[in-house]
Amino acid sequence: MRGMAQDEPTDVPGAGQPGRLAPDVPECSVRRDLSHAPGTVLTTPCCLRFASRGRSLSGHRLSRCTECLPLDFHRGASAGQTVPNIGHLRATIGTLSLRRPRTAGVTTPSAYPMAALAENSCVRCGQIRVPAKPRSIGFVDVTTLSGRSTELAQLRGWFARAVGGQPQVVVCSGEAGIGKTQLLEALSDEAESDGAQVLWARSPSPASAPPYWLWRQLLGPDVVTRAEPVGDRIALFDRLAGSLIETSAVASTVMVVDDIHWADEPSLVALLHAVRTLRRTRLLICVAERPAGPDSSDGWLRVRPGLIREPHASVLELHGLSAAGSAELLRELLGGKMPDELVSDAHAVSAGNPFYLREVARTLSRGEGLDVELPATLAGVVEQRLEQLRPRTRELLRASSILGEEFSIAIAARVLGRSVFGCLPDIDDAICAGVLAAAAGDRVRFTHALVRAAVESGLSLRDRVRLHGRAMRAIEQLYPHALPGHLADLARHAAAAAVGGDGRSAAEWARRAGDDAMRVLAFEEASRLYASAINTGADVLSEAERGRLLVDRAVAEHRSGRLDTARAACGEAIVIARRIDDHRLLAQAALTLEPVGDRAVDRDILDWCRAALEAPRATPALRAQLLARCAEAMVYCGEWDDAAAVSSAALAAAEGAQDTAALVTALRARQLACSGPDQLDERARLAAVMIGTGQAGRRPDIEMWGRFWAIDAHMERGRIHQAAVELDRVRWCVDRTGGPMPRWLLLRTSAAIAQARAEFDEALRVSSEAYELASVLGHPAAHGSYQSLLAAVGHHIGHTEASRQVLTTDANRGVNAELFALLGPAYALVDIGEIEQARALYRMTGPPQQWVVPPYFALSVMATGAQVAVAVGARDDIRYLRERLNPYRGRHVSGGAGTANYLGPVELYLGKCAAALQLWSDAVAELTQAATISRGTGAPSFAVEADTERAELLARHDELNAGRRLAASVLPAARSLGMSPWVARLQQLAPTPAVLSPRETEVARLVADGSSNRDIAARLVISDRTAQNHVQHILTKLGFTNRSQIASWVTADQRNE
Amino acid sequence: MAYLMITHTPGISLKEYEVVKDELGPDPLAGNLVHLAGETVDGALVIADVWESSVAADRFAAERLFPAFGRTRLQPGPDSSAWAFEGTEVEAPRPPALG
Repeated sequence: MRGMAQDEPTDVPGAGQPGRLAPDVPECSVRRDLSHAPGTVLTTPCCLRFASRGRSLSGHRLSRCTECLPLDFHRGASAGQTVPNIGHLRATIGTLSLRRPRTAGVTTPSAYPMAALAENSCVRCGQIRVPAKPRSIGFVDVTTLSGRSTELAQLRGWFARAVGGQPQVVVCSGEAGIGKTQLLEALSDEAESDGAQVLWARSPSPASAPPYWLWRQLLGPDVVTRAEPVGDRIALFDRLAGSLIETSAVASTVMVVDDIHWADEPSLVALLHAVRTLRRTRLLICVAERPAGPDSSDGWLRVRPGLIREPHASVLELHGLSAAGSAELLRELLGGKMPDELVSDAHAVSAGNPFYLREVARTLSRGEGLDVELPATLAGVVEQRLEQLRPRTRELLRASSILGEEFSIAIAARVLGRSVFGCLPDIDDAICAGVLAAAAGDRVRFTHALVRAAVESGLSLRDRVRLHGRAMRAIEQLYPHALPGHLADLARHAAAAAVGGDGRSAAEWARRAGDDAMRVLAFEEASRLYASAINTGADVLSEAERGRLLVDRAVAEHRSGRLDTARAACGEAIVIARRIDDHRLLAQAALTLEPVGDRAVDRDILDWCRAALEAPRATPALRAQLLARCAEAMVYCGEWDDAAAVSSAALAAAEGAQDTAALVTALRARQLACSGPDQLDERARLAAVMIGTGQAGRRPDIEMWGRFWAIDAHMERGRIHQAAVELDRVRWCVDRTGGPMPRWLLLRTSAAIAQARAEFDEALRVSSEAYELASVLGHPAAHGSYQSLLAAVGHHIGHTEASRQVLTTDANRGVNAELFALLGPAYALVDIGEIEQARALYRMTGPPQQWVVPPYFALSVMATGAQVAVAVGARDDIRYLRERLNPYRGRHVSGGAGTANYLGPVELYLGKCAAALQLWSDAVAELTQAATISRGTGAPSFAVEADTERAELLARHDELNAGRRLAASVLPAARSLGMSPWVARLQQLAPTPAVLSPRETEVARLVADGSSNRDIAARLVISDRTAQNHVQHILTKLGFTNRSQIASWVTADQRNE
Repeated sequence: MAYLMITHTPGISLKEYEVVKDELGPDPLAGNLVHLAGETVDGALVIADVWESSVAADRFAAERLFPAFGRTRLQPGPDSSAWAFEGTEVEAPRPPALG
């Protein structure tokens, strides 16, 4: 049985003596006067005293506020300003417009959660009143911003730009206590007075909050628990960003993230995504950070570079106040002139740190004279303040310091072994001293991170371990039915307490917290927690448990896009699995990563899968999955023949296993292994099987793959219309499947089909969207796909400076992309006339006979290679490539691994090769056929290309008139499609308007209007015969054979003008 | 073992107690065995609770009572005091037999 006297009445002034005040406190004349009108400013000496010193009056009470609208909770009000109290803040918690629980001023009355709040509040309107003028003696925690006018002006400038529709990001950087929060509060206050909204979030110092804590504060606690399409983190990020955009659409918005250096990484990744999504939003995002150091989370160190690289991001560095600024702040705090020597010393010791200066002022205000010793560190000044508190309060603060910057009174009470009510006087004491401030519910928080850190640093290791252990048990006891919200905190306490030997609990809580983080798609946080479980449980976990945690961590790292660490974790798990002969763990680890074209990773996957296949007791379904993964890795590793055989075995095993998941995996592997042009029929069959499997199981995610494959097959057969029809079906599947990868594939395919149809603007728009999405995904094929689309579009409409940069950037880390890293830019250089540079790149590819080309790139490589070879005059290569392309007559060059672009019919390249080899008749025949095929398939720009090549060929081969006629007939189409480079080439051949006489030009225009010869004769007052002669001359000069060609020519010419 | 808590809150009347009680709503107080409230002659509110455990008492405070304080703005001041302890079970006298 515990002692009965554990919660004795306290020694708080006035406590237990109703109606009596501490001896130094004058009686307040309005203390019991509840009759004043709302809004009255209380100016009695008593109120002044308590407002300025932050002491509480006993016996005052609050009545329910029924008159006020929810307003913001202001940290420090200016003199005479009325301030809504904490109750309003509580009312807004959990809404979109969560207001800022800004750092409370050291002694600002509005910080009181308990009696002190009541003492300074109007019983009618609930507002707290601050005296109009501070007293001239004693400490007054003024909230005016001293010495920061320059920085505030800069922030105003950024805010003005944001208000003008240019969203801004400002990283406000400076050491602890330098005044970042206060500066941002000043800006927020100004913005609010101008009608803007303020959103405020704060990162907790230790990793104690659930994932996406920043967003939970900004948008509500349930913001990340709503259902997303399976695994679709981009959808989650889009939703978060969308909420911000919606908010800033209502009014200009300032969003502040305080102490961002402690934020959880998923919150930061989502923030970066949101910043990249902002367009013309009236939003200023200010984040406050300490300079990189031990305080910075790994997440912030990883995300920060990307954030400050954003075009509308700026860094605002805060340094210490100047000597004059320090003096001004001290004078304001102490209400009078300070001795120069003291001011100078304080400035020298603090380097102008405002937090330090405030603490010095507070010490001086205690009336112990000016002969005070200035502590050398910030922690020292905090300790000086804590020394003034009662022992019970100090004990509470010490225990609470391990709970985090904000903590539950109930948990603190249990850590201390006191009752909740027994803690209230101590909480009040700490609040009055400005060490704690009120937060929502039963929570309070340290007024500054430095305060908490200073208190915690005073704990011995033994005390910390003990307190963390108690905190863990307190949470377990208090929240057994609502643990998910506390899992991260439990894991933290358990890890800290594990030093005392309880590694099992630490590992278990970290694992559960990691699982919860995975559930809400907080992959980086999950990985951190799994790593914590592995470390804290090092001495107690079995090898099998450690191996499974490594696999969990590998999955989390993989989904975070960190392939190297995922691979390392998998490797460790594999070693363990082999050592303990755990075939299931071996298979799990082997199947964790997917081959994406990174040779080192793909090699590992192949080895692991082979090892797992050697293990006995694998079920048929698991065996099918391992074989399938093996086959995929083999394709990427260049073992194409083996891949074909293994994928076939995988498919057979999956069909035998009657297991849908295994069948789907095997089909995908088989499709990849059959990605060469020779297996087109097989791929079409696989597509049908996949579609059927998806439809039978009502699984749009499975059907989707079959439809993508069907599109690939249609495009390779030149059935662009059917591909477009299939695109609508696949869109339905993608919408129901969700996920960034399907969306990227959809966008990429849409862009390629638009490009094939010569809808160039649409193709560029959609491909750009796809590229942005893929950049977030970090897919290695993203850049290559985008390059290939830009190259295809630029080939027909010309290259912009931007597209040239993309095309000549060697960022192609894609699948077996070394060859394309040379051929792609060479292809573009040919288009822009940089033949010598193209030649240099082409030479680096070596002889085409030795090109190592994965099957899915075969036709694309041969076609682009042929194009470049023709341009640089590599006759042997042209001959070879023509031979290689010849068997694929009737097929179309499309894609690679999926439809990423369309390069026209094979005959187009055969024709170009034949022309380069001076096989005139073959060339004319191939090009004629290419144009016919292109027109028939609905790829008009390739028809223009083929006709242009043929027209030039004819002109060079003594058939100038035929060439000119062809050029003139193609020119309108080239113009209407916006194919500038081709228009230029055609114009060199085609007759110009100057060829016609003025009279003929007049007649041609009338022909274009639809006039008959008789009409023309009547109009021009000439004979019918003369009109007919004019038309005949026009046809001859232009090389045309009928009047409609004249009409088209005139129309195109007029449009061109 | 039961957990007993007695709080003494000057300046709060039974009328205000009722306001907070209403705010708590009709749901039973989980883990509460006995709840008594009264006013002393000097105008202080005294509440005596017997709980199944200290966990039940703290959970109630954290999850229901403090939020109710926040909503009503009625809460104990620093002059309030509390006694809490775990009590041993004392056998109660049996009621007299009927008939």
